[in-house]
Amino acid sequence: MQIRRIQVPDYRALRGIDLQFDAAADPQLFPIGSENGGGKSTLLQLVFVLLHCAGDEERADFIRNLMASFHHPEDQAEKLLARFELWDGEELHDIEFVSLGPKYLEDALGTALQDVGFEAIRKVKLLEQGIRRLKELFHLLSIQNPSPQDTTRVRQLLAHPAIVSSVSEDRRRLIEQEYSANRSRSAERKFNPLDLLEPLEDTDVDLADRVLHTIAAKNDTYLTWYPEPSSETVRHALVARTNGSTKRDIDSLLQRCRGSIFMLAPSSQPYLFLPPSSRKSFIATPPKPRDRSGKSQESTSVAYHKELELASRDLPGFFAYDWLSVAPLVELFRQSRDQDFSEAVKTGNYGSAYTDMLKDLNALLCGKEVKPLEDLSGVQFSIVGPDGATRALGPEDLSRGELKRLMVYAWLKANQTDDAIVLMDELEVSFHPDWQYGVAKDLTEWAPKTQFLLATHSYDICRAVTPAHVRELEPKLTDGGRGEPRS
Amino acid sequence: MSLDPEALDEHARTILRSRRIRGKLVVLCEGDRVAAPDHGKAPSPQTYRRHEQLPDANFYLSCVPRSWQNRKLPCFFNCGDRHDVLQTFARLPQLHDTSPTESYLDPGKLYAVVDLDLQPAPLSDHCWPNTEAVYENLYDQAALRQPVDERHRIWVTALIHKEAFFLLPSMQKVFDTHPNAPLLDDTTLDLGDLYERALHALDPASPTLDRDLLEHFPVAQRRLQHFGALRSLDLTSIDTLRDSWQAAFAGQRLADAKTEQIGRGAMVGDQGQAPLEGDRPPAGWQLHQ
Repeated sequence: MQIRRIQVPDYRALRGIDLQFDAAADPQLFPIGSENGGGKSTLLQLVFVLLHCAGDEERADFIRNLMASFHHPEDQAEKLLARFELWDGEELHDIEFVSLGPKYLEDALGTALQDVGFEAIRKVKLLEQGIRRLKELFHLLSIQNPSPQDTTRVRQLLAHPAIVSSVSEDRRRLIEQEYSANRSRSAERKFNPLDLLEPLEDTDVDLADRVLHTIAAKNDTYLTWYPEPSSETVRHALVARTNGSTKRDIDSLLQRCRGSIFMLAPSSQPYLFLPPSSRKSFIATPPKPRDRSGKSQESTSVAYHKELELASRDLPGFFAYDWLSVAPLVELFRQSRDQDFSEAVKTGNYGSAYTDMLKDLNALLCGKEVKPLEDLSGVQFSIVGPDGATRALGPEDLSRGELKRLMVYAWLKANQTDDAIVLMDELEVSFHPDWQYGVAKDLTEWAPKTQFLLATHSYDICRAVTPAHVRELEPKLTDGGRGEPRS
Repeated sequence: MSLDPEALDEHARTILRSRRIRGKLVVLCEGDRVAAPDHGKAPSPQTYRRHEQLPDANFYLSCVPRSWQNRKLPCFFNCGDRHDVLQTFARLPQLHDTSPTESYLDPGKLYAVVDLDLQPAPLSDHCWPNTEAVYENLYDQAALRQPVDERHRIWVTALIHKEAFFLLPSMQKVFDTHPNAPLLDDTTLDLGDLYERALHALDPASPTLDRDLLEHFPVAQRRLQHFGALRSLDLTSIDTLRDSWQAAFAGQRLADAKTEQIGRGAMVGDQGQAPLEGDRPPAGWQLHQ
């Protein structure tokens, strides 16, 4: 899968963006530059969220959060958010993401329904989502010894809009009390998840059906409703549109996109797929030493990073490479172990996936070696000192640049990103200029069939390709902000 | 146009004061000086994008073996034409010695690489008197002599230009399988066809014959004499060279090791270059980085 063209007429700092990515360019690695505030990170996030989440109800929250920054004028029935040309290896697809406003409903269904049509969809979709979330919640409540992550997830689910809108406050409070008192299993016995849900009015269900039917009749694919920050009711929706394709074709294309797009970026930036309230907490306030109950409180930035980590569980294509987790490496070891075992089952002989992979990994390290812990709970490094003695090292003993390079490699391999689209923001951070150049070259060797779009300020990353590969989000006042690529 | 003394000093000082050269090999090469990251504006994706073509320094950087990734990469500097490179090479140590506290250069790590060309360039204050002498000492039949004499700080290309390496017969299989092969007259470049055209262009009366070859034919003669695979050629004149070449190698298969040697011979003279003026790769095509 490759992106051949991205057009974004008007989204946050992005105005009149029209970037093309030549099919003939070799390698398919395109640095994207702009001044600070030029919209590089916004562009990558927009592309990632739309292509990684569209068509999956479980990821619709991320699109809704993204749309909180989109302005749809009252007098426009539709407004284009973004348009992509995508090459799937056989065919070029045009796909548009279009916002529908109240005027769209007025034109299609009459004035009386313009402010309630998408709200009805919201209620129905939230109920459907509420059922799924409640099932997950009750599964977590049944766990005897929950991990801290399980506990965080329970609290997150109880505050989830789908559950908040579908389950009364009294019932949610009761569940939380039961859970806090460590009587979760009794909570499970006490409630049938489906009994907790507030029933919907028949008129809402009928209206939602009518609106969805109207959208489908125009050959559009409904993706999600989305709220305006200033409005209590929902008056907008987002649809996907392609020329001459059936809904099944669009669903199939979106499904392939979701599995083919990845984003690696630093955690130290506000992500548009998180709720606006979380993005505000990104600007850290210092923690208060102790509150009245004697509990210490975490800073808002710590809370933000926890939220990002939780979100990343539902975004399998996302990885923050400054978390410096060795999880991708462990996953790579696990995969190669399984591959060798599978080979042994088939042929009677163990394969060489593990030893080959170990060789590749050690070639990346500067005179150091890596191997997994026996139980695959982590990895350990070693180095031979000047006296010839081998000394053990932890991941924390490696330089950030070394560890980051290794993790990017492991992450790409573990996610089998070949023939995919990988978006990377600020890859250069933690790397010496020589390594910035080298890592860009590495990417094209590690995943030669993958298309890389790199938002960057680094000249040295650009040097790994030709000037014709570089795209620029040009300043608005000097050239009208068309952002067109050089031919 | 070559650097005047003032511009030369300014260019040399830019290199000396570039922090990125500290402790590294510095290699001067031909190419547009504005393509250098230290020239004027702060280097950024935007400044890189404005280059009309791949900067020569970038080409050489791409040739550094990937196994050097974990070491310090050499710093390549575009200096202008061949004369500018040689002038800069001579001027840098002088300026460094004048004011070593204002220089990040380690003179022991300074090198230059220039195209061989047909016209020898004189080298002042150097172990070899000119680029032709460097070539003869460095290479045997366009292949590097081993061991390399460590006094070589100014290197010349083994073929007439660095671009000539992409016209060697062994490149044909790369062109044949590459998704974005270079085009000649709107068809995929066929080196056999190219050599044929080059041969026809070897006519002193033809306006397409490179004037350099006419003027410096004795240099080409001397180079070709060293090639065992080219012994049957009659090097008396351009005409006899063309005819004897035609007679000896017409229909030669490109895959041959011997043909590779002949191709190298063709590329130390100017014979293979003539038809290339109109040869342009498609947009975005990269020469084998």
